[in-house]
Amino acid sequence: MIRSAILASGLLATLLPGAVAEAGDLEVMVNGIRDDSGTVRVALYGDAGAFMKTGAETAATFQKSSAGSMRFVFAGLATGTYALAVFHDADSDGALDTNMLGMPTEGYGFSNDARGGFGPPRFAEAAIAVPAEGKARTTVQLGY
Amino acid sequence: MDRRTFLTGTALAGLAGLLPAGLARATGLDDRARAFRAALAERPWLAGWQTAAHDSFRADPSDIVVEGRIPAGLDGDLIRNGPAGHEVFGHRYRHWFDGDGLVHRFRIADGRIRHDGRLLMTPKRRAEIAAGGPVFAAFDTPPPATPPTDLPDAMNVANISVIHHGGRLQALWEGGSASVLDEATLEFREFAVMSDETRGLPVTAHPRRDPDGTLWSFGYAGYAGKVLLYRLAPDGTLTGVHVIDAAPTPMIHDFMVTERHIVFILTPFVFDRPDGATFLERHAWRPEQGGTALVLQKSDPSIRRFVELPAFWVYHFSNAWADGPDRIRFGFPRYPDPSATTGSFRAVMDGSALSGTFATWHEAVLDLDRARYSETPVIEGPAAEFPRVHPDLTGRRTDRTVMLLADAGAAAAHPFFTTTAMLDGSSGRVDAFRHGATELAEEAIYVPAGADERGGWILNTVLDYAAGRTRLKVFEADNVSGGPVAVASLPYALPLGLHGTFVKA
Repeated sequence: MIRSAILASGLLATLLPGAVAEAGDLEVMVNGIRDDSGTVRVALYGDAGAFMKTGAETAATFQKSSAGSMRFVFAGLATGTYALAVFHDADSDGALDTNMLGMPTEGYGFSNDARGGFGPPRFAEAAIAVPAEGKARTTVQLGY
Repeated sequence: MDRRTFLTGTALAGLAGLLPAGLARATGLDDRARAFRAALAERPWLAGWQTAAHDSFRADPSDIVVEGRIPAGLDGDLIRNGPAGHEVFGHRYRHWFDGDGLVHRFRIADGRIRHDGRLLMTPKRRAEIAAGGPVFAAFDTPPPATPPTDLPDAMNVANISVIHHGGRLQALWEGGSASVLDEATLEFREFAVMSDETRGLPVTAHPRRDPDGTLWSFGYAGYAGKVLLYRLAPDGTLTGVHVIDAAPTPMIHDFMVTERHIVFILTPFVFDRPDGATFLERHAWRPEQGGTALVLQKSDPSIRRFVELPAFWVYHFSNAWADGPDRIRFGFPRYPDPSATTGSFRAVMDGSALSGTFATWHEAVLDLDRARYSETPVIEGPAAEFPRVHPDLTGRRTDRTVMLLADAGAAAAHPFFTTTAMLDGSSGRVDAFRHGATELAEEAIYVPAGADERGGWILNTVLDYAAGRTRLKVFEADNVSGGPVAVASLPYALPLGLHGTFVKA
């Protein structure tokens, strides 16, 4: 089953029309989810300085994991560029597990299916433009 | 009835793989694969680098021609590994060390030999078969498109060596985890997990086992600037991990263990080239920086000493032992630089001209007290490689090292290793045997008869490219020049492998 999550701030924007002058939606298809264990977590970042920094997310959400593909929607985003980091929190501990060198030991991926070389990609490589109106789409293939 | 059931019991099943490796040839050949085939027609010794003819191999004793007599008491398994899936759906890899691992086994029992082997169905290979083409980066071949992950185990080809430890047979790579194999079928089962915090970390193909059964292993991670040292109990339990800062980190294929020390030779072939498209290309040769011997105290690896070294490149060491309280003696094939790695080992893949320097056998001493290194060339002239010693004397004095030589003076029809040689380090005597003109020699393994270096056998595989046969030769370790006491010819040829182990029955 594909479910959608509505971002808290997006919900706020829906409840308070006019609070955000220009707003678009970002739809994310997460593919390659290995199994139903735990949750799939999606973090949204609004600029390069915030990218991959805990606490600096523009928004974050999660759903119970469903093997295969899952759909997430961030609604009512201010116009601009964003990047997404996604991981499969198979043990539901709220954190991307890593080994002692910081390599992920749970499935992970980025918007645009961006990949770094021996590390995370740069914000620009994962950046998605969200228009003033309408919907931007991206896919994230999880790698394990 | 499935295909496997159908084939079992037919003559074909004994000779051919159960699945056609044509799986990997169903599509067209790329430019490199075509160039290789053209070169192979001119230089038939390149057969050593053909992609495996089948996905699996099996030969019963009745399929194997044995000349001479297999010695009594030599019962056990010679298990070998090496890159052999050199082409994925017609796409030929760029480097000898890139391809999928082929693990194969000669089972010696009661004077008879049977053989089996398979290209390992790693997660990497399974994903590429599902995709119908290459997906992942290799050691020195860029991926065709952005792969779904760059985590080491996603591209783990388990293709360098094999070890039996803690009751498990494991195929070893050096970029990621060890792979646990099914002992009955040799098939890939799962990646070995030493602990949660070490999951997915690089593990060398050259661990070293103390006489008490403790296994010392390591990993190097240039992208993190770290070297990791692992200690595993005889039952396989991880009992220690140490992280060593070593940026820029060199490529480190092997290390040494003495009674009291762990020795890393850090060459100036370092992970220091951000624009490189492959793992190998990320490494730069910086001879002006020289090398360093990093010596750790075994009882407390945080106690470290450093000795400056000249710039050289090395893959393998024979053995190292204490020659005095603060002196460590060892032997190794010394290369002036890593140009064979970036030259000849690519050339055998596309059929271009070989280029690169050769290694010559050196003995060396690290004087820890005075922080001094000295070295002496021992066998001048022929290129040397693949040293092996008595497997139960790691870190203890060993006088005998068996190795391969490429005898430039011989009338060999090929440029690869021609000769198997036993060096007695105490006398300098070399007891050598030159193989047939169309035989390429692979690593020779020393199988001891007892606790010391007297007696025992040498198990040595060769590829006869003219006959299209891989052969196992058995030598008496005391009389290598006397020639093999037994030669077993398989009914097929396997690509040249890298390393193996002997597991006594």
